[in-house]
Amino acid sequence: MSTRDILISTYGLTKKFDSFTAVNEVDLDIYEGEVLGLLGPNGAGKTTLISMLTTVLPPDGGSATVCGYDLLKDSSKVKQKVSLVPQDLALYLTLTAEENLSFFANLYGLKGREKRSRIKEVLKIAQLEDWANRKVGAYSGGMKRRLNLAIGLLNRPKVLFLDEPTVGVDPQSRNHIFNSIQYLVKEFQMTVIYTTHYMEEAQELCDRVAIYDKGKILDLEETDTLLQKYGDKQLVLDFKSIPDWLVQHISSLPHVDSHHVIDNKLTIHSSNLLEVTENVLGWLRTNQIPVESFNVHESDLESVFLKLTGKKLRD
Amino acid sequence: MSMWHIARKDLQILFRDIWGLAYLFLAPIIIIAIASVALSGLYGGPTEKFKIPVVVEDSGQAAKDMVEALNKVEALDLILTYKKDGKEQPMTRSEAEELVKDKKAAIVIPKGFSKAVDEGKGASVEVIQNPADQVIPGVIKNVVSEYTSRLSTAIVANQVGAQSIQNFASVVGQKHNLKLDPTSEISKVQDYVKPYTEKPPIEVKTKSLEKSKGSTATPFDYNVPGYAVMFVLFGASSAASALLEERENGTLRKLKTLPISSQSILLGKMLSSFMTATFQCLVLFTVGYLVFDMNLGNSILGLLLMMISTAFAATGLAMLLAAFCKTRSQASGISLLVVLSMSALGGSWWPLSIVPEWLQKFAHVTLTAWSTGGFSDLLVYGGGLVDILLPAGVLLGMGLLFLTIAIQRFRFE
Repeated sequence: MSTRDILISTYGLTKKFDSFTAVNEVDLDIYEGEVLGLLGPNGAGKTTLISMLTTVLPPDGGSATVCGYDLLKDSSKVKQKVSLVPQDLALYLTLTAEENLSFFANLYGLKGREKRSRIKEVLKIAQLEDWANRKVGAYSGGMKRRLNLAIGLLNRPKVLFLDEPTVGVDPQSRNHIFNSIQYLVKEFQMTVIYTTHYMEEAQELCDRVAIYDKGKILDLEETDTLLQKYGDKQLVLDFKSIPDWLVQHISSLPHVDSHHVIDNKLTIHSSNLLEVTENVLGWLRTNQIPVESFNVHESDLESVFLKLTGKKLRD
Repeated sequence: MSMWHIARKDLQILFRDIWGLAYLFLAPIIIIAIASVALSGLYGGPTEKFKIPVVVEDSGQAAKDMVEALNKVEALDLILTYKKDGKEQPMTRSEAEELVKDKKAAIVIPKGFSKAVDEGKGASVEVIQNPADQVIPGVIKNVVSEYTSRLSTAIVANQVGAQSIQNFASVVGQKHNLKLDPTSEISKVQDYVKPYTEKPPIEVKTKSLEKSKGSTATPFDYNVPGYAVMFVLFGASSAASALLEERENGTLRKLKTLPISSQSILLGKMLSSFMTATFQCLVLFTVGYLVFDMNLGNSILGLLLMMISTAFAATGLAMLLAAFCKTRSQASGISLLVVLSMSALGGSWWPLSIVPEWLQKFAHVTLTAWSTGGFSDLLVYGGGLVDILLPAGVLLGMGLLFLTIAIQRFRFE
């Protein structure tokens, strides 16, 4: 990854609102053609960070370059290269999709045939061709999200910022948005910065994930590396009743890192889950201790986040 | 019980909406106060002396007597001079005509008045009346007429008496036992009196300030501009709400990421509001003209300039509201408060000339007063382009000031 060109680079980027520091000295390099996930809970400062990188908000400290242009000195050039698909639906509901697209295309300076073909192109990507002349107010939530994305593609950006693009959408539209992002990265080598508080999305879509909380990047790695680094595999055993001696014995078996009990469910954490599963299930069978059910949980970003911040993503 | 919970929740929400409360309670209080003060003269409030410009073009004794008599009228406060270059100058006709727009009426004692009175020829006093006020000029005319009729009676008596004595002397001189015919003398006396009864020796002439057309101004000539200004302000304030709505739903944030400047975004919003307001004015004045036979004055160019400057100032005010309000509901509450107060104060609902003078002066802090004043100059007083340069200039200046502050102050996030 490090051999690829760096498209965005920030150094000590900071934003404060009165005494509240929303973004706290963030250092970040984003490579061309990658999908970078900013994973953090609501209020972590993700939107503020991308607001600065898209020139919506001026930073209070630090510096950044986007596509080789200084964020402050060359903000107009930065604007030509990036696009933001905001969390809010930045749409005019009383206009049709085509009228919305035409308005934004005009502001991007597109004219004539180029404008028409660009509108057609993004309508196709959003699969809204048949709805182009309907008022947006009549669209479903998912269709509005897709149009929101289509508007963000009008200027064929080098960097696309997607701010929680799947909030409130149906699974079909969510899949469509995912497919669109993958298509854009593959076809146009677009760089995508994707903020979300859904760890499944980050895990599925992103090449690298930044764990972000309280205005700081806690770690930034490829998804697999993060899972290996902080991942926590679990074996969950469900008993009818669970006496203390049983808990004590199982917890003393080799490779059991930690454990906890909730409602007759014993959860065992281990870095070597395969070994632990064999040991525990073998011992229970030998001693004829009945188990209602058992589950093995693979590592996920939720557990990575939990380990890094001490709290759950949706806390 | 559920009913009570629902009502309690609604009241809780209501009492947390400060601007909603302001609209509910503060707006009516302000409007009631302004209306009551403005119309105090109609409802038996404390008597205020009417300041009446008096132009004395004649230096004779009769003119002096006339002024003295007018001075004794308690309801009148005569303005005999005006300041020019820091010096007090005797009131002139042109200055009085200018003042009448605010002062309701003026009295002109023309040159040759005293001579005409002395000779018993037709002397006249002129009352210049503000067409916006049909009551006070009538009162002034009555006061002047009362005085002049007393003067007229004395003059008639003098003239008739003099003629009678002359005749009598003539008769005595010719007293050579010629038979006197009293019928013929009575007839002669009647003949002397006749010209005075048909045409009083001092006549009160009335002149209206209206220049644009022969007929009296109609209520539409005042109401169409007045209410047009008010609704232009309402329309513009809805543009402020629309701007805040764009901020709330995120489109402004999106626009900020596009390769256009923040100023362009705001100026674009302003331009649409300005064009709407101008078009609104054009439609209302056209309807006023076509449907209500409203007078359009003598200067279409002046009228267009007033519409444009009013729309510009209203747009500036709307942008200022958007810059200072945090939410749409706040903007709606404040807009209603501001527009209704300005309309009551600035002459949208009644001509400013009928309100007390201190209130007329105070009203000019509002753009409504400058706007309605400018339109009245054109439509009621028949002024031209030159006459509305000041109000139009003030409105354009206000608009520019409001916009500058709004652009500095507006937050996109």
